[in-house]
Amino acid sequence: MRFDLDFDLDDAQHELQELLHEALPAVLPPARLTEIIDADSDRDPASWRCLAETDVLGLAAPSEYGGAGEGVLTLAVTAEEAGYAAVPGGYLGHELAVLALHEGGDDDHCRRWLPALVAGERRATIALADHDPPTHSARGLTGVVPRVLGIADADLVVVATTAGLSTVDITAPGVGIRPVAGMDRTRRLGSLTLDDAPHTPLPGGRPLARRILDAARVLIAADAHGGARRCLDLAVAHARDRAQFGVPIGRFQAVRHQLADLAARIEPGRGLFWLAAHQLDTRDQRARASAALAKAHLTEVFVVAARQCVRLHGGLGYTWEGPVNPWVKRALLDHALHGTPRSLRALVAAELGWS
Amino acid sequence: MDVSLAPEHLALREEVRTFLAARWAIQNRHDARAVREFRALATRHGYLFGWVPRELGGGGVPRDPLAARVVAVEFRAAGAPHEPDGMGVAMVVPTLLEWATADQRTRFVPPTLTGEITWCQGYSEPTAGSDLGSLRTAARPDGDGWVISGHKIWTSGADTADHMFLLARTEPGTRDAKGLSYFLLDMAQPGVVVRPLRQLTGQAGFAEVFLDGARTTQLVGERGRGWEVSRSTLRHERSMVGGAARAERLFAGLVRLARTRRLDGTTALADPAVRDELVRVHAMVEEQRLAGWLRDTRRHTGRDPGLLPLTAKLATTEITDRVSALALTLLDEDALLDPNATEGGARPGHERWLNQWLGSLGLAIAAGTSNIQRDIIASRGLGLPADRGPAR
Repeated sequence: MRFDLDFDLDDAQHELQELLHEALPAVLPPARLTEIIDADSDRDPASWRCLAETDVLGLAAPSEYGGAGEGVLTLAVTAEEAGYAAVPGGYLGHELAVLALHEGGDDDHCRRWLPALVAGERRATIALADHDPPTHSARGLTGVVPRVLGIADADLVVVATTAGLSTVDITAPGVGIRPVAGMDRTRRLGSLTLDDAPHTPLPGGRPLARRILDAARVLIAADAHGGARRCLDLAVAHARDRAQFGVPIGRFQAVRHQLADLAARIEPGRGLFWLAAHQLDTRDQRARASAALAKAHLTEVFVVAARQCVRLHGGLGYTWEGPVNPWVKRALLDHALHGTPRSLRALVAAELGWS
Repeated sequence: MDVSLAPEHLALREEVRTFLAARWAIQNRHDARAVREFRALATRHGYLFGWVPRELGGGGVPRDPLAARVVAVEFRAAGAPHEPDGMGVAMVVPTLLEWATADQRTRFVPPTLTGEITWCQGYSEPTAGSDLGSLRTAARPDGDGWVISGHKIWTSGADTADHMFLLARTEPGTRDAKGLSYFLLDMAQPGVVVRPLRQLTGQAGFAEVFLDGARTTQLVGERGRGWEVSRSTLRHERSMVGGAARAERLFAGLVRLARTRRLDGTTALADPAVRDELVRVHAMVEEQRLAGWLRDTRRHTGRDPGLLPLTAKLATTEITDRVSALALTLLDEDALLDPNATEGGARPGHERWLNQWLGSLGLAIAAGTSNIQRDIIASRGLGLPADRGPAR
């Protein structure tokens, strides 16, 4: 019998987190991140291989398709470490698409797509429009989703429509993709245009679509928490190494207090996305508000952490090739994608019954 | 992760609800005798003070933490008196259980639990605030006891408490935390003079205490190890667990205020700016509630809680500041009024929130100022090189 609340990751989740905490930053040193930022594509074979080899890409898939059958909490653990390491590309959309296929796909769907997605041989993403989702007609899906993560490299896209979720094969007629110049060059955006495109609706309808949107918010919140932790670690390391007036700047009380304030803002944050993920996994109806609250709060903390981290690095922090650039841009993406803090807080207030 | 209640905990919840419905009446909450009797009854039922041995007036059977949490939540929901937050129960009793002799425990623990004796804390001095280790009050051996002289200040409740727990220097020639000892002192004696100090709220919540040859026989722990004895209180972390619950209560009060107040002809709670800030603060309160869950979980599993024990007080201070700022907005022009006015016998209205507004300033200073908290986080939490002198 249990004697207290067990509000922590289990041993396997802790192990996974420690593994990714070592492995991901090791394949993404600062010079490599700058290279990706300056490249034409955010595709990064080394980190993708690392995610495939650690079974992260198929975590949510059922075991008969090579996955681990894990829920949103475990996905959030991987998203946190991906955020810490600034993993480029569309892994977030890929994880969510696998989750959607697992929860909403029929056997046909799963057999056809999941093995290759789990192995990382093919890529999927998710297209969630914040306004005016694509609509069904007798001939197919029609509409535009203007900002989609990882669409350039995707083979399959799970699209939120007015009726729920549908899968669309990217090579099908009536499917158009155009790159969108985004702020975060580690995670490129593209627009998806559907013009009577063939699609396969996933059973589960709008409740499933809402659930996947909530899961997306939780994963972005987790990414933001990981990114904020990295900003703190970078700033602390810099304060120890950088000497001025003959001593490390980490001896100066102004610097120490800025770092302490930052730590106090970041450190308690993981509970928010853990609880939201756990509520999604246990089908608790409070998950919607918890996911919105976690994303609103943690992405704002990430923005503060990135800005402070730049300032604590001095001139180096303000350079393109410098150590902070990737996380500044990632903070802006996390802030704005799938619900801004302001709109999410309005949602929370309504969900809490503040009328 | 599992935050649900097991069947035995659900059964306990029913049992506690039944007990409270039968034995507690909310209108008694300001009646000291009724509160005392209720606490004694709840202790006999094992709902309170399970962590204190039965022969010292406690329940004697520590409940598992989840059961204790179930009891605390139900007591709070019913507005029933729980274990008091005051210094006696939260600080003196755990310290005595760890360090005191059997005789001292028998003498001081039971009446502290019932509230028969009350306590004040004699740590700060006019020249020893944040730098507590430098304090000057001296104790010298005299017969079978000690004679203490010095000047304590910012002593909350000194004018009503009948005992003080204090630190005094017993080893002449020492200047830092070494050389201090921990004493219990009876306040009712000629060598103790209390001069109340008026706080920013206008009330005399604290005082300065002049010790001039005050006598005691109650040294707790070994001579010269007082710093260690006083620090042991921190390990119990009782006040921090209370911190999240207090923040939750405070925030619930703020939401009620927003429901009642009107701004620009409509309910304040309907104002988008008010709602936005309320949800911002709600997120911080939730963070602290969940950080408490995580700390409690890791206390059993032995996993490192990281910086959470160090950041809790700064976070609570920030929440309290944000609540007071929003309360001020909600008060609107009523913020012109004196919250403690008694003229005409009228009960104050919402302007009583101005006492919370003023009180929030005190929270940033008491029990380790915010700047001291930042130094502790920087040194112990982030491993930054020392600034000046060791952070405590």
